[in-house]
Amino acid sequence: MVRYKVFINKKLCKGCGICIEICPRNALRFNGINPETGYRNPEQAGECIGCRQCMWYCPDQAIVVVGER
Amino acid sequence: MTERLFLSGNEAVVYGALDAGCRFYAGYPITPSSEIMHLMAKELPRVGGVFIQAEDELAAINMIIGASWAGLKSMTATSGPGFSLMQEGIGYAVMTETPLVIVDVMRAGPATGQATKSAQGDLMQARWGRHGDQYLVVIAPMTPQEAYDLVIEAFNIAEAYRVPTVFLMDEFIGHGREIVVRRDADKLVERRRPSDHEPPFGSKDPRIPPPMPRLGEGYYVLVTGSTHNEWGYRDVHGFETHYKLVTRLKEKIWGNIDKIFKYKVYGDPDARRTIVCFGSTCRPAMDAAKRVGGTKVLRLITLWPLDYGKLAEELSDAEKVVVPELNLGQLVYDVAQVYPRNKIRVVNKVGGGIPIYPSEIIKALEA
Amino acid sequence: MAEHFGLKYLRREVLPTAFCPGCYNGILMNALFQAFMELGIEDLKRFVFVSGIGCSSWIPSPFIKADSLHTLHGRAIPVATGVKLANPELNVIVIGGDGDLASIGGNHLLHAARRNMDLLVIMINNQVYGMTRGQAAPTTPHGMITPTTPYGNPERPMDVASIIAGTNANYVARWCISQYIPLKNSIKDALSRYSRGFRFLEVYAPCVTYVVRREGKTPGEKLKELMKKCVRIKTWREMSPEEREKHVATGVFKAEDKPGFIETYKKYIAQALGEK
Repeated sequence: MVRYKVFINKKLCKGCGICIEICPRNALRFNGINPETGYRNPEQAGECIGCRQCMWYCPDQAIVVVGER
Repeated sequence: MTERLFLSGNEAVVYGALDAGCRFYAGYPITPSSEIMHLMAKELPRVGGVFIQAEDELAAINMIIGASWAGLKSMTATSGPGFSLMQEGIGYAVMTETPLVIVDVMRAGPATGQATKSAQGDLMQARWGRHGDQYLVVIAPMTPQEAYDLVIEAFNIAEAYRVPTVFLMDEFIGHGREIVVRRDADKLVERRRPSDHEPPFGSKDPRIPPPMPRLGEGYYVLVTGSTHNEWGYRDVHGFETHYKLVTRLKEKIWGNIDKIFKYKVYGDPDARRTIVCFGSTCRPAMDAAKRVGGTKVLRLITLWPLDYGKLAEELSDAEKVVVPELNLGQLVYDVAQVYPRNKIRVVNKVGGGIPIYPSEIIKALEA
Repeated sequence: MAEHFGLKYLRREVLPTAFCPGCYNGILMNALFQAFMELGIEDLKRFVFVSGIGCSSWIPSPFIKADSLHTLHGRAIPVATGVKLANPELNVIVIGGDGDLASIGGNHLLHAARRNMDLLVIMINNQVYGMTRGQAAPTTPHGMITPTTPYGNPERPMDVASIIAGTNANYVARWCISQYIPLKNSIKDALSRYSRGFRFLEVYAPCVTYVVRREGKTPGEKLKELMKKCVRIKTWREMSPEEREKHVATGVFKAEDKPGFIETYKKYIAQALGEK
């Protein structure tokens, strides 16, 4: 049984929201403004199925999905 | 190895380039330079080089830039209209410090002008044709033999100083045919390669050209026409980066003027009249000087950078200076910078492929 | 610590990129890097990227960790040609926008395709001149309002992929930026199965700042819209003219593995000079 965790690289994320809108399980949502960059960053807020579309469509390579058994 | 050949200036340029190690040519047909391209198309593959006919001069200049970064000595040849099209590319080569040789076989202009008729009207353009603060080297041969010898020099300068070098050749020389001796070059210069941690676009002493990496060797070089720092990173905002870059590029050439600037003086060094000339007008000048006496000829071989100090020195005790040019006046402005304009006599003539006659120069000398 | 698969091909010191938040350039980068990964390309030592001027031309310079030539507007293809001819062992990839490659650079694009020059050219079609703030381009839809077409674009856009498919080029494809997997697979094919001759890949990716935002949409919303708007070539050809206006034909227009320019040139030289 694999569980997936999503990590956001806040240094690279520009808060464009593509990952949030593309996630088929609505597993991501915005979580406040990052004071260092001024951008909103997403966080995992639901179950991730590991489809990795967020990784394909993140323009800033700022998201990574890790699967653990 | 020496060979005595009967060559036109255009043909001599090709053999000189090949002997200098040129192994890439991209060009576009244009009178009166097309013979250079034809001969290159035939000869380059024989020595393992690559030739391609481009779709226009914009492609030609950019192709040789790419080939130079891939490690080959590269050249193109054109005439006025094509030279105008290449200006942006030449500016890019100055900014990125790309070694190139660009041959301009001059015709009467502007625009289409008279394609088959010789002229010397591209002098200012060769120096200043690019926008912004840019400096390159301009060399002018006088004979087909010099077309052979000096194009080798042009490649050496391009490689040594990482700069595009313009080879300004009058059509008279390009199409005129004379004995040319082809021989092993005394010295061939190759661009310096970087050692570890040497930046490719900067140096502590601006007179020392930086080393040039070759593509495909893991250097991961960042070449850009934008203002950049010594490692090639773009900086389109800072004053220091830009000012430092353009002053270094200028000093790289003008700081080495003692090595680059070449000229010759013919005749009695104590003569009180001097003819200042370049290219094909120098032979009628030498003829005129010999006939009338009391005159020496100062022939410029390097037209840019120009050592105004040396020029001033050479003209300091002249009573009169005559400047014959196959245009309506360009070289005269250099002379006027270091010598009183009211003592300069010009001979301006261009069109129809008619050279300046010694008699016309003599008339100016005695006016 | 796990990180995104694309980061190993990027110059970390210049990230995050200068691109607008949500810019689709970054998605093309992912497709490119995934293609490299799946082909077993560990580093980009034998690659040379050449680009012109414009937002997508910034993808390789300075972001990709490889030799790159950031050249003049429209002139990436001739520079790339010079590089490839001088050293055919190098893998030369041109990345640029529709303005750079099909407008000012259109002539060079046509001739490189005609020559079947051994290059991979990726053209990101964002429908405007993005870098200079959204002026109309030869790919701008009819009627669109831009700074230079304030009363609506009177011109009709050019279908670059179709035009190039009509030349001697080996491989021509167009994919929407929303079609990540086929886009990535096209890049893979262009570097493996169809690795010689001229390979042209048009990526339909409207500018998120000057097109998408002007439509009142977010980058994510537009991506989802594109997933429905982009249809296969065959499907598109069977549509009515009105339907065609509202959809984009995507797919592989042409795929051949003919000898490229270099192979042909070398063969002719060898024949003429009597070598092996």
